[in-house]
Amino acid sequence: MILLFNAGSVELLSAPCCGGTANVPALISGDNQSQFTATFSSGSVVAEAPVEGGIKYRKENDNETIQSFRFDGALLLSDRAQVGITLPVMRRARSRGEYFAGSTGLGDIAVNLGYEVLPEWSYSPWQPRGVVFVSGTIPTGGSLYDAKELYKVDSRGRGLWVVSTGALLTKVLGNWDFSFLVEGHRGFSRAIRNDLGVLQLNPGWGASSLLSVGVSPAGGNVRLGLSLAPSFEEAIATEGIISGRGESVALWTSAAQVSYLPSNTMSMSLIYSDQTFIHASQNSSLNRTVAFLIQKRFER
Amino acid sequence: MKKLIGVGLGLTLLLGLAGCGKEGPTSRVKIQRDSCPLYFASENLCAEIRWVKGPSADVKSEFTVVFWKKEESSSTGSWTEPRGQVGAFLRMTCCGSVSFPKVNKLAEGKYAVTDASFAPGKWEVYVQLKQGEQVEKQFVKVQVDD
Repeated sequence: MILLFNAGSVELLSAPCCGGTANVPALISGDNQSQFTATFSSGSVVAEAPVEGGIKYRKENDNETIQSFRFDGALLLSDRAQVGITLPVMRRARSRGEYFAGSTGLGDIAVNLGYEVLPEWSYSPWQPRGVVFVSGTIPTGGSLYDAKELYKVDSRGRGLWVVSTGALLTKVLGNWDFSFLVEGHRGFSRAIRNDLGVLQLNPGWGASSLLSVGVSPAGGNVRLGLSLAPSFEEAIATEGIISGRGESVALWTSAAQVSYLPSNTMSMSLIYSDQTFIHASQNSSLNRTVAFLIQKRFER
Repeated sequence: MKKLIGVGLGLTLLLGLAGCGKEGPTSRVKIQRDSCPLYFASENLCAEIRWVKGPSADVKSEFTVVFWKKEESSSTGSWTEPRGQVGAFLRMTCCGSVSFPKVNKLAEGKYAVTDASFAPGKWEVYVQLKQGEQVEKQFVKVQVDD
């Protein structure tokens, strides 16, 4: 059961380009020396959440798709310390009637260090296993500010260096498993220079969370899981060429998944996530995504 | 008498309708000279944006900007080259995202702005004059349809 829980409980899809639930790091939460995960996902942007709230669905002839391949690798450095990396490659395409644009490239790379602050060396009916982490995001994906293509399909990241810190708590009780991840992050300021002068981008604070619950019916090698991931991003303030402040972003992602454990060191998951299910998002595009995940673990 | 009053009223109405919307040459020129969509006080220049392509979310939009001396010319008259460097940028009103199209000089006082990338929504299209540390910018509001 613990192996099965490790297979999929903290896997959650990243938002297509700009924040969302992208701050879930590559972490080992079980008794493994290393683990490697490949995630293939395909999603559609089906709606917008306007600044004033609510949902505005896109027209039928407006099709925006996001396909991604994401590699996550994590390795123990000692009994309790670990290091991880996330490498995403994305394709974004959008067609509106006769018009089309598409672009493929690297998303934002993230590296993280983790430390197991609450090890589970002996059984406890209440104490969860806990890992704290610090993560850095490298702006390799480009952002809305860097995009040149129509519909800004070449925007695959935040365009800012971001440092994040947080904790992951996991607990298995019988056939049930629970996990809770919370993180806060801050982006670093960035200056864009051109003939007009300097545009200084000053990002604010952000935070995201993930709450998931899973059950393995009859303790078998299949796990069914549900998760909810809210995220919040303060507005970016600008100075220089134009002084002003954008709008903050709120995004709620719901997901359901089925995992299967063909062996003790390998698992597969099928995940469906939907950002239109909870009507509380603001100032963001909303996606529906299907992902297939395969994970290989090497035990200690 | 009633017929006379009726004919008189009819003629007045006809004359009024015929003159509706017409102005003498002097007043027309005056109206054009007074029209100053974007005013740059630092150089006492007016400017106007003319859309060549768009504004649209589905193509890279293009427009020209022409500059003229306030009170001396008009958007259709002789244009004046600004002393400051001409620039342009776009800002989405709702969310503050900024993008930078390309700006190229076409003639004295006339510039082409190309590669303007919009998304559906409300935008501010800025034109900027920059001379050393002195920067002046004006904008027009644009609604890009979904």
